[in-house]
Amino acid sequence: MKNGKDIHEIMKACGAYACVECGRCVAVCPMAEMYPDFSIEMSPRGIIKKALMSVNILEDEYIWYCTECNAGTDVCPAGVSDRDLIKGLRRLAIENGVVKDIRTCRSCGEQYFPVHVMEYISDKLAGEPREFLEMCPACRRKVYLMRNA
Amino acid sequence: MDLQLARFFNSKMALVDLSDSSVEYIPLPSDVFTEHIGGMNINAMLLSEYSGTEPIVLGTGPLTGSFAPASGLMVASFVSKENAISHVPFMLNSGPQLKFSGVDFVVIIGRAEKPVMLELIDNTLRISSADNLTGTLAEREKILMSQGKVCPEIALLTGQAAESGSPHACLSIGLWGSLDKASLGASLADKNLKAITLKAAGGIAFDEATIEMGSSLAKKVRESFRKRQYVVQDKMGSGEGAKKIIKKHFKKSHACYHCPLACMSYLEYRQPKAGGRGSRRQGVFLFDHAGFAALNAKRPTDTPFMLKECIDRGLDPVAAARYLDPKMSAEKSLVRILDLAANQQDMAGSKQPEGIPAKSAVFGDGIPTIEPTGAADDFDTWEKRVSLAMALGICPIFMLCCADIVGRDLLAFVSSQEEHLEALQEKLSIQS
Amino acid sequence: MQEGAKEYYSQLTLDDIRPLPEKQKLPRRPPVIVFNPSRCSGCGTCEMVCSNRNVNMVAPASSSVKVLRAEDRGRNFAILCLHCREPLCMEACPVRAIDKEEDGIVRIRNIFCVECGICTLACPESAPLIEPVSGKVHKCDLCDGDPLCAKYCPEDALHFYHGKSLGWIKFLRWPVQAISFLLLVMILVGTFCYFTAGVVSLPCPTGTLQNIASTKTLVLTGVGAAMVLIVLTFLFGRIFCGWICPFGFFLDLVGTFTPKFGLPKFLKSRMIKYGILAGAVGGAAGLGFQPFCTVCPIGSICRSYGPGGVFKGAELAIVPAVATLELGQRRSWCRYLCPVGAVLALAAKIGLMKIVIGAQQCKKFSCMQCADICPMGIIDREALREGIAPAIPMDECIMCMRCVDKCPYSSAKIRFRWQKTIPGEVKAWTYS
Repeated sequence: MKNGKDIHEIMKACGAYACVECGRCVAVCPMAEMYPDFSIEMSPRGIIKKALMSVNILEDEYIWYCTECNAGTDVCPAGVSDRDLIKGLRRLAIENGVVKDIRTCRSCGEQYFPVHVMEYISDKLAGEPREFLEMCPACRRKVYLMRNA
Repeated sequence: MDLQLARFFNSKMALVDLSDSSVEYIPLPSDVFTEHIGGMNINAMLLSEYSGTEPIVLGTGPLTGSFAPASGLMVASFVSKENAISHVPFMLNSGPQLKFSGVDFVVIIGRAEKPVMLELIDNTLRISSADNLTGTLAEREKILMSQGKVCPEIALLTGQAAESGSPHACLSIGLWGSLDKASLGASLADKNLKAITLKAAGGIAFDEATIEMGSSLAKKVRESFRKRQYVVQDKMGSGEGAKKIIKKHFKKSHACYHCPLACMSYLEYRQPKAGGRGSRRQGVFLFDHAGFAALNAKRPTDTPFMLKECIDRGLDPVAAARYLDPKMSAEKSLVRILDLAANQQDMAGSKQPEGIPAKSAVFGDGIPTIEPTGAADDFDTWEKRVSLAMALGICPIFMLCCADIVGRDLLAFVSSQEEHLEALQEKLSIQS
Repeated sequence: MQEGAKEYYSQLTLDDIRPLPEKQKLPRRPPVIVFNPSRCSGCGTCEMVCSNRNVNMVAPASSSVKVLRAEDRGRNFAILCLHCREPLCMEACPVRAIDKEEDGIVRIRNIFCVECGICTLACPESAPLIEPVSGKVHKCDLCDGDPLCAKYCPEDALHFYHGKSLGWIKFLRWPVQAISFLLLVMILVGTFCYFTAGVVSLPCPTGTLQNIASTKTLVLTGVGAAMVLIVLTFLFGRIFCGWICPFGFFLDLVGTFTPKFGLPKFLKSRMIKYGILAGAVGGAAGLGFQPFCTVCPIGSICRSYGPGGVFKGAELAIVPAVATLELGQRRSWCRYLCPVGAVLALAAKIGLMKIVIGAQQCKKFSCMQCADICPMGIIDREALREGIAPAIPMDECIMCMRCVDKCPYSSAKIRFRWQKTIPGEVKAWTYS
């Protein structure tokens, strides 16, 4: 599988090989509250398992749901860093030009957050289109400055 | 006796070798601080330690980042072409951004093969390619500042003047300008180093009691100056022309890190558009008062415009002022500036500009000449005040303008123990 | 599994464990920090003291205030949490860690926070700040009532404020409305309409137009008298609608206690009233009598208390029939249908006065009390959410000044049309 070596590097760096599948990360994961279809596919444990099983993880759409909060890392008994894993996989996926469910900031072009998280926020805020949701936080602050200073 | 100065520092320095793109962290033992206090003194020590490799040292003092007033100083020291040591002050919040990144001193040695920049972002020091940094300083700043959450707080930039090998190139703090008239910019260009960017993610714990002390000192300073946009020019004795121009274009006062004096101004002017139809609103920061005064002497009506053009090219305004004339048109002056920025020869002759004598090349030639009248201890000459400021990490312009602040006032931020204070006073040779 | 057991094992959701608070009784004078950008010098003292409270270190990356030192246009800004009346971060937090208590302060409860950063993404100004290295989220909690940033700001740019609570304009307006009802309906019988013009008259401009069209004669004194109202509107806006119109008074009374159900879409166009005006005048020209005046509710109220006795029958039925529109939206007759209002709107469009929303201390998206209370619904909530000050269309404003009364930060003002008060007014986007 192409990129196998890169994925192996990432997994080693974040200690994913030490996962004991206890499921504590799933228990604290905020994704359970955000997505009604939260399943093993998008949970941290599931992502680690899929990566270990050499499933084509870079093209998996479920790596684009995580918020990178690091709650899983905080409780993991084996010391796996979930945030580093997801970040590494996403970076590799973008580098390889694969599925990019990531929203780009309208003003600076930085890819700042996955689409599913932004949609969750939009829904929570009564689903109306909000201009400021299309900008990354740094640009949002600058725009607020320009309008109010 | 251990003066316990290490608690104001990270006790760490970084050694950056541009020839092999390596970064090494070296711990600093606390007796270094007891011996040399900090700031330019330690910079001088590091310069001699790494002599032979053309080092440039960026350093901070014990009070950098603290609740002492105007505590934003970073000192950049190097050995100039004439083999003289020069310490150039950098204000805004460059000092705290360096110190809070976990590194107190950075020593840069060697020479890079391709244009590089030093990035100290989120506490990680990296040497990265600077191929995309071209054009005026405004354009480079824009490129650096549109990087979302990793855009730097402070970007020290060289400009086109440095790239064309001009000996009058200076290292600017973004679009604010610089106090570098000793050609630190040219030394950086020799190393192929185009920019240094800083964005701190850490901090230092300072004594909570100093918050109130700093606040009351700030109040005292604010009450003694009403029209702060004229303070520095007044004290320099620049004459009515400079004050008139500031009055005409003044928009807002700005302050460096924790500074109550707020001696910087934002000047807005109208620049005629190319083709002669209409004009555009532009602005420039008045941070480099000596440069402004020198330009004002030669171009009394469009000083802000000239200042902005010099800053945009990374050119020392004092050097540029020597080639300008009140009788020239604005376009012709601009052409002169561009020429100077593109020229490798030292067209200056002597370093002293006409009319406004600058003192002491040791401090980069950029600190304005202000006689501190009314000082209450023996800490009463220009050299003594600037040396103390550069050692402690306080802005030297603030020290010169606020002559009623005595040495003890500042040392109170370092320690409250009598024996420490006496030892410090002796080391910094202040007698009350 | 048995049925009972299945229910026992059904999943608890967050709504069971930590429900969002009900629409709670908000404090009448909510605490907030008011920031004045024209005073901010960018010194960063607020960041220092705030981070000192958060993490016991001076670390700008760990504070709850972000100072933006803008290098374009020389403007500084401090981004801090505005403690919204309806916090967006509270709605978006996936673990319900954010709470707004009775003191009005919005806090993140650290025991629940998982540091996902969604609150930052939901906030229109991204006020919760995320530490770059550790990912910890810091949000302003007003230091539990005594904010340090406001205490130590050397420029007095940050001010802790509870907002003024008493608006006095309504104590003037209700009596004026009552008195004018008394005069126009009961005492000066039928003087409002053109129908029965007495010696002293304040004739309705719509009636005057219909009269001219139907009789095809121009009575100059009549027209001159009608112009009084037009000139009044040109000077003060549609103050007739807000303070004098007896039907408006009736609608205000009814509207204070009726519930609102909304109107169908086809009715919600502001152009309908111009159509009715055109129809009335055209109809008058064609038919030879004044069609609208026969069904006008304002006229019906004025005329029905006539010499014939107390409120006559059939004509009076028009008044409550039209007033049922109040069950749709406040003043919906005035917004969409009233042709008298249409004539006055044309005069007010080029009038001298304007209402300014979003001046200096306006809290924009975090407050929006003006938008809630405006009976004509012309304050654009979308603009406020984006942090933009909406321009108020003076042809729709009835100058009731409820917004000026309600604004706790004195950011809603009456000004002359040519006065510039806010950085950039934007034409209203949509309002219905």
